[in-house]
Order: sequence, then C-alpha cells, then structure tokens
Amino acid sequence: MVEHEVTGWLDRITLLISRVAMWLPAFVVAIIFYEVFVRYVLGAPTLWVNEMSLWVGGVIYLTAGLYALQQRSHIRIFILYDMAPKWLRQTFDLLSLACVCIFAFAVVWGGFGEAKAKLLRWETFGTAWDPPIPATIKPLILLTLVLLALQSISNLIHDWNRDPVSHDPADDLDLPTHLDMSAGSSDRGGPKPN
Amino acid sequence: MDIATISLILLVGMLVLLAIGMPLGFASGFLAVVVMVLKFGPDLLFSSFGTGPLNILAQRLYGITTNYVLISVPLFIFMATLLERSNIARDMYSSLNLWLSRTRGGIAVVTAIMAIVMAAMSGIIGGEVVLLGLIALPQMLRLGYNQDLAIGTICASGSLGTMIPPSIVLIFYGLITETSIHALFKAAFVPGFILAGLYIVYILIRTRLNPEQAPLPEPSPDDMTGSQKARLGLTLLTMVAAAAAALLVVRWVFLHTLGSFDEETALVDTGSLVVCLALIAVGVGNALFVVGKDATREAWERGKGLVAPLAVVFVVLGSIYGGITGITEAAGLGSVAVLLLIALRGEFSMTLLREALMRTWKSTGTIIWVTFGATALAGAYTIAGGPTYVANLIVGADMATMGVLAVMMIIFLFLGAFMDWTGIVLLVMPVFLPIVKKLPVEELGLFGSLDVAFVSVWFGILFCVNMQVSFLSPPFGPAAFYLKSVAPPHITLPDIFRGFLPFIGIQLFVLLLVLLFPEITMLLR
Repeated sequence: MVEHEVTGWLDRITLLISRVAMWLPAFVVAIIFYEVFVRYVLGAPTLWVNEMSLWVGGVIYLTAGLYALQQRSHIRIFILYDMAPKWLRQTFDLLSLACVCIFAFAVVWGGFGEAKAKLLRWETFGTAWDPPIPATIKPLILLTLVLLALQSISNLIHDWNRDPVSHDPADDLDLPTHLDMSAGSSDRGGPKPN
Repeated sequence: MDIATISLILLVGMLVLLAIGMPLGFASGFLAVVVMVLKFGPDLLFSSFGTGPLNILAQRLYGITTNYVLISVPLFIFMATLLERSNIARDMYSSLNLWLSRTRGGIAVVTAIMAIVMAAMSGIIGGEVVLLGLIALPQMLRLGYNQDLAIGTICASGSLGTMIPPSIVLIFYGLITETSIHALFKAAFVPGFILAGLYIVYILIRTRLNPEQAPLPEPSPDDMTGSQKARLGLTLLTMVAAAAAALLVVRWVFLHTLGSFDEETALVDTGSLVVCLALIAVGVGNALFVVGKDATREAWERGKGLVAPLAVVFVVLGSIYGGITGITEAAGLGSVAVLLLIALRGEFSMTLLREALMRTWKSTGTIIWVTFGATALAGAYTIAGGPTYVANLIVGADMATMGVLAVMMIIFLFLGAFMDWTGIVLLVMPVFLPIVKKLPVEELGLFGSLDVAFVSVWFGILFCVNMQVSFLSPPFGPAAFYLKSVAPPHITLPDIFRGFLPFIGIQLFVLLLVLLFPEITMLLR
C-alpha cells in the first residue's frame, strides 16, 4: 500500500500509534476464532471474548480515524472544491478546519466531566467479565477528538501551498499489483501505480 | 429557536459544508454542535465546563463505539483485502472457464458467477470490480466480446457485494435504524439473487440475439463434452458432500469421546449422523467403483478452484443463516478461513498480512468516522425534535402512500449519483424511516401484504437496491472509476458509463419489483 507522505512531527506520532494499533483487527479475529473453537469443539464458551472484542473495537474505530485523517482519506465531495481557484480553496480549507475544531471543542466541553469521573472511578462495564470499557473509552473519545483537531491543523499547514491533485473514487483503492496475471493477455493496460 | 428554522439551517449548512469539500463525518459533527446551540442557546451550553446538554455528543459516540455488530465492519474489510491479495479469485475464474467456455457468452456468465460468489464471501465492493477488471476484462476483449457488454457485466455484478449478504450497506442500515441485521440479511437473499440471476439471463439472451457480441474461443482438445461435464460435476458434488459429512462425523466422535456432548451445540443428532455416513459411503463408493480413481482426480483438478471460495461462502453464510454464530463472529471466521486458504496455497507472507492490515486500518477509519459524525448529528437533531417535525410535514402533505415512497426512491437515486452510500444511510435514513413507519402498512406495495414488523426491513432492502444503482450511475458511480483504474487506456469513462445502461435498467426493474411486491423480502424468515 502506498502511504501518504509524512508531513510534520504530529504525523510521526499518528503513524507510530497506527503501526501498533493496526494489528488489533487481527487480534480480534484471533480471539473470535478461539471463542468459536472452544464453544463448538470443546463445548466450553468463554466469558471474556465478546467483551474484549467490544473493548478493542472501540480503540480500533477511534485510532483508525486519526490515521485516515493523516492519509487524507476521509470521505469528501470534491465537485466544487476541485473547480475553485487556489485562494478560494484555501478559504474552504480554513472554514473546514474551524468547523472540525469547534466540533472537537464542543464534544470535550460537554463530555469532560463524565469522562473524568468515569476514569477516576475506574467504572467497569457491569457484565460478567467486567472490563473497564467506560473508564477507558470515554476519555479516549475526547483525547482522539483533540488529536484529530491537531492533526487537521498540521495537515492544513503542510498542504497550504500544495497544488491541487485530481480526485476520483479510485484514489482510495490500491491495486493488487503483485497478482500473477499470466492468465490475462498482453493487451492489458496494466495497473497504474497508485 | 423553532425546529422548522433549525431544520432549514441544517439543510443549507450541510449543502454548503459538503460543497466546500469538508470531510462528511466532521461536517455532520460540526452541524450537530450547531443544532445544539440553536436549540439550547449559547449561554446554557458554554456556561459550565464539562457538563450540560453538549454531553449528548460524547454519549452518542460512546454508544456506537460499544456496539457489538460494528466490529464486523473492520473484520469484513480485513477479509475482503485478504481476498484481493490472493490468487483465489483467479483460480476460481480458470475453473469456471473450464466448465463454461463452450457456451455462447460463457465468459461473461463466468464473470457474473464469480462476482456473485465473491459477493457472498464479503460485503464490500471496490476490490471485486478491480479484480474482475484485471482478470476477466482482458480475456473478454481479446476474444472479441462487445466492449459495452464486458464492462457492464464486470461493474454491475462486481457491485453485488453490497446486495448479496453479508452486505456492509445492510449492516450500517441495521445499526442506524436499530433493525435486526439478521432479518435484513435473510430478506436480502431473494432480491439479491433475483438481481444476480437477471444479469445472467440478460447476458445469455443478449449474446443469443447478437452472437457476434460474444465469439466462442477456439475449441481445444481439453474441452469437456456434455456427458463428461455431467459425470465429473456429479463426482465433484459427491466428493464435497462426503467431505462435509466426514467433518460432522469426526466432530460427533470427538465430542462423544470427550464426554462434553450437549444437544444445544451439537449440530448433529442421530438421524443426521446416519445421513452423513450414507453420504460418505456414496462419495467413496462413487470415487472408487463407479467412475474410478482417474476420473475422480480429474474432477478435482477441474473443480478445485471453485471449492475453496465456496467453502468460505459456506463458513460465512452458513454461520449466519445456520444460527451458529452472529454476524461479527461470522466475519471473524471468514477471515480465518481466507487466511487458512492463503496459507494452504503457499501465498502467505508477513508482507501480505501487514499490507492487508494497513489497508483495513485506513478503510475502517474512513468509514467509521462518517458514522461517528452522523450519529452525533442524529442525536442532536432528535433532541431538537427534528424527525417528528419532518415526518409530520410529509404525512401532513396529503400524498398517496406510494407517491411518498416514489419521491423517496427518486431522492435516493439522485443523492446516490453524487454521494457515497454511507452518507445517505446515515443522514437521510433517520428522517425517512420514521415517515415510512407512519404510512398505513396495508397501502405499502401494490400486491401482497407486508407485516407491520417487517416495514423497516423491507425499506432497508429497497435502499440497498437503490445503492446498487448508485454504484453505476454517472457522473460519480464509483464502479466506473474502479474499473477505469485497471482498464486499457483507450477505454474512457463515457465508454464505461455507456456499458452500464442496460444493467441500470435491470436494477431499476428489481427496485420496482421489491417496491410493488414487498413479499419478495419476506420469503425467508
């Protein structure tokens, strides 16, 4: 997969988090397989797999969003944006940035009290295995939003003087270039490096 | 401020923010804040730090974060990216080719069947269109197939991933509208296969009417005759059945020796055990005495490319429909099955796993954060009384029931031409579904009757068919762009969209079918 280049020190932190956290889906697959195995083969289901995948899932969604932002891959509509002259695009970007920051600010403003209380109380999920999901995920939501706002600022600083790139839906697909295509013929255009 | 003004500001704000190219998820999140401020006034919100009505935003985010079904999304993405990186699909193509290459239009049919099988394995499009574009397009063009037919077949059937269960569109629809995803998957089964079947029927009819659009390949000595096909095909079937039966028997024996036999999770009772043993006897007997070892080996050689993908389909759909596991666990098991196949084929490497995980990571972040923004917005808008307001507005407009539905379908089709399906399901559905639920149920559909409890499931399927059209409809049908990225350079975007037209017609026909005969969605339940 071709990654977006690193622009700025915050990107290094985002990438560092992602390099570790991207293995979490594989971890969830592994424990789910374990659960189904012990349930149907050994007839002894576990208590912890469901809640563990719920907990890990929360971390996955939040941190993956940070990576998607650093990669500039969040879903946007480029119809007008691509047509606008440079000064107008920069205005659009500034407006977007302001909106992201206000969103992050409002969520933190409203949720800080509850998140802090749950963290300090180390509130648990209230189920059989009882992991501290509220105590960890609630603060993580606020932390991620702050990081998202910072990442947006960092992105804009580095993209400010960029020339526009073309956008089409296939940008987000990276093509399997290594596939053995010997069954195909020679008149194929070949996958373009993306 | 009253809700009418808030709704108007919200609508205009959304249009403006999307037009200036703001990421959809964050635009929704920001508008959620706007709605809260308009509803409660700035003083109430910002007077005390850390509490207040704004907490609803964090609560909504937390609510969706702890939804068990949502975990199936990264897992299905993971499974799809693994499939893209293996040669499983190419082998399935070669296998199918052996059986169908002598049929008029056979390669187009092979392409469609392959797409259907891939759609039943995972619920994502994109990778499928690209794979088919890499594998089937060059083959069809070299044989002299009509270019429009080739392109339309690849993109239309490649988009089936979100129609045939498991489908990510239905998962999100279920999450947002709190509809049972199990029920949605069951309901989508029949319409999904009607759509897929119509594609194949269309290909067969078109190539018979215009044989020059699908020339047959040169005959080769390897080609099977009709009787040979039947014999080898039957042999292959008995082999697969015997293997499946053997698996169940082994498990039964294992559980009994272990002493942990439990009727609830056993899956096999004594009656089906006898059936299993009989199947094994038939399989082994057929292989050894009826057709002989050589023919058995030949059947396996020609069919093995098909067996692996069908095994994955069996694991995923079997676990869901068989009630063995939930959707999340089925996604997990599917990923394990694909990983296992990749390892058996000797394709596994750490690079492959790492790349697939990175890709999964990026797609997950992209898709989930749209959900996050929309869920915050839906929460804020509900508190402000929005859905009730819009529902009353439309119900009060004194339109015929089917007229309201027709307007909704047109809005979906229009939005689908410009927007990603995630945005539509997340932003429009919380408003539309309450309206549909308020419509008199006996007036829904023209023929047959719909269960009251089934309205939201039926509407979900309608939405899903609409989104099938959106993948193909110009100017932004993503399938066209996916195919363009792997097609020979002389095929332009207008060329591609022209090939879509008859297939869009078929999709609209199925849409009408589901709309007028709601019972199609209730056949399996």
